[in-house]
Amino acid sequence: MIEKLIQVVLFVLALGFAVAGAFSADEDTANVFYFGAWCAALLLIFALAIRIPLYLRLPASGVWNAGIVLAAFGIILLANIALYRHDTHFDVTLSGRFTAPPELETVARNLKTDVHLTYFYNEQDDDARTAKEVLAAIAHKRSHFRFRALDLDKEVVVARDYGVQVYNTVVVEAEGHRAEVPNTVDLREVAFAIQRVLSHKNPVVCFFVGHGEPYETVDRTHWHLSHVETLQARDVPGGGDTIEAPPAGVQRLKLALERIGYVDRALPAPMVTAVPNDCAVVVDLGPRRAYTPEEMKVLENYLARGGRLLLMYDPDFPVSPELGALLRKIGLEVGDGVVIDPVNHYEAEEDKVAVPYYPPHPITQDLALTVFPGARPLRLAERIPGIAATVLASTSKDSYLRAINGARLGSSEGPVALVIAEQGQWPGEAGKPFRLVLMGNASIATNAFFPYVSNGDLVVATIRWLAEDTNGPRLKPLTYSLPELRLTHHEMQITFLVLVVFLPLAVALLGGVVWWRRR
Amino acid sequence: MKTFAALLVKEEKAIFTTPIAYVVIAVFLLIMGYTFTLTLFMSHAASLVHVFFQIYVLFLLTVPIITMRLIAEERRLRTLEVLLTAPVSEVSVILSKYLASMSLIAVMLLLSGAYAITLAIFGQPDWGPIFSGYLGLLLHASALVAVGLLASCLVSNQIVAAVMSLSLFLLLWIIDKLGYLLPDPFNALVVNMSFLVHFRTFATGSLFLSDAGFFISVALLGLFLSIRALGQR
Repeated sequence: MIEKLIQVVLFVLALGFAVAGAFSADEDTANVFYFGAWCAALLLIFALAIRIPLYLRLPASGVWNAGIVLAAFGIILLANIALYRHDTHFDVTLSGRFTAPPELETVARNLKTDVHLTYFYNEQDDDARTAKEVLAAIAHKRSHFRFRALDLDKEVVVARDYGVQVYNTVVVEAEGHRAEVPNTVDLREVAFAIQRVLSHKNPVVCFFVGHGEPYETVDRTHWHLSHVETLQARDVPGGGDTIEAPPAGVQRLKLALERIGYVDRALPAPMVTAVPNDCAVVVDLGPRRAYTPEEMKVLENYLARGGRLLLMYDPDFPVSPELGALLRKIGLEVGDGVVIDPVNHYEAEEDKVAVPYYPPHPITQDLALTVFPGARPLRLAERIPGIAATVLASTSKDSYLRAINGARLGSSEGPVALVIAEQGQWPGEAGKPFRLVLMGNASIATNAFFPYVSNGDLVVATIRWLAEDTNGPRLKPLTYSLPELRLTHHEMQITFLVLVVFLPLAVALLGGVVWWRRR
Repeated sequence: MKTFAALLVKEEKAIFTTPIAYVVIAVFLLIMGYTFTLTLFMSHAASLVHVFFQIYVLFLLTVPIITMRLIAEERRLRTLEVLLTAPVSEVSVILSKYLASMSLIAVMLLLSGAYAITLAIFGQPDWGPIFSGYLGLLLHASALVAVGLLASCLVSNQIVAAVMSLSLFLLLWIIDKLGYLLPDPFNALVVNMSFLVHFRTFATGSLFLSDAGFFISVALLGLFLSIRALGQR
């Protein structure tokens, strides 16, 4: 009775799905229904086939059985061919190619004014057609996101008017400003282009050079964009884009700043008597030689008249007494040696200090883990009236200092400050308030470490805070590296112990208990 | 239905009251745990794709061990005659053994979910390919167990049954390499017989319904032939 009922239910299901498939509006939905019908039909055939007699009271019983087996193979073959001809594909990846990247979603969601996008796409390019579909879907949802797609081969007159000659070029226009992204199917680039257009101005970041800073060679060393074939890269446009550049260079930082509409240029220290007015932020990233007294004067004057300064010092930078005195005026001290953290560090390298937690500050919003390779200690020695100081990143209380030559310096130091941000009136001045961020590490911004978890976010967010750039949402900078998951040494130990030791051991012990009880 | 339930309980007990199942699971978790942590620490990728392919291969090796004794053991212990002369159908016998074996596989996959949880704790994994990967492994195992069960029905010796199913699994693993050398339309036919070709799409999160259909149809074919093979004994 139950068997009959099952067979009837399977028959009704197969018929119902087949009818639903026949009346479906689009092919994909129809194929999903046909798949349901296919499953029900195959189960029905199985339920009927198991009732076929095993033997016939005939001399040719062997032939009968062989025929049954052959028929079973034949049905399975035909069923699979039928399914193959009415197949449907599902993209179940979170950041799949048919989903807008989070950067573009964030920008589109936060639009307060109309932005017009024109995409001169190549109809023969699968990725370009996908990008077009995604952009159209966003335009459907967001009223300020105005979009039109034009086939470059068919719309040559419009393309000429726009001055577009390259396939898959996106033209972004808003409030009389315009940006172009040539030859792209990576929609993250579109998000950054919108942000560039909306920012109206292009803040200039001046990199102090003349003391062996890596920025000195940024335009002289060879680097290029590359592409790595990975499972993700195959599915997500731009997912496999990487940079081939010297590890000690700063090309990744430079590109990340360009993507959000910043302009960078060198500020040759020996040749300037004052920081030019067009510099929104001055950065001294990884100097190797001490400043001259004249350069010290330039920096002090700049801060005194409300300058925005980011100082990033590695342990090998000699801090002159004059620089020490300048920083002490605002309550800061730069120590010697390398910070070692036996608790929070990256993988098994204790000198790569990992910082998982931060105090609330505009710079540290949404920051995940940051990794400081070979950091030097900082100290907030004194609170100066009129200056708000915040220690943005510090080590665990078990950290200690080691000299550059490897010898341990003293006993446990407790939490050591790695990044300090200050904002306020320069002592004795009453003008525009200054902003200063002091980092006990410059390697964090180099090509080698910029992609590590939130390192890039920290450096870019610091520059944006210094430039008082609050226009638009904060996007995670493109680091042109493959997505990676970084664990501290402690996290690695826990993971290994739980998954390789405890879990199998627990099952083995359970088996032992079962065996013991059966005895 | 009651007899089927009684048979299923008997089979589940036969599996989970012997230490063999726990040894298989423990070894499986040890190998997979080591592979997962090593891959995570070296590649830093918040993905289980490599783990899925490793489990896929591990199933090809362990399923014959799980299925070899299902019918052959009954035959060796001479309990098969008793079973078949009892008022139970061949369908109930086969399905109960099949489901019991699948429950062991399900426990193994469930425990391997610890790797996905680990990724969720330390990062933001893409859950789509993780769910589809597990679905693919379950479908892959369902086809393997059905074929292994058929091998156990066809021969009396457990070792022969294991070697037979292992050989078939290894052939179906790499058969696509042979298929690419064949002329049209045999190439498509042979390539589509490969387990790996159908499993790969699940592991990467870009799946086709025809791949799910392949595993379902192989499982049903294996079960149907097992029922007939057992009946003819």
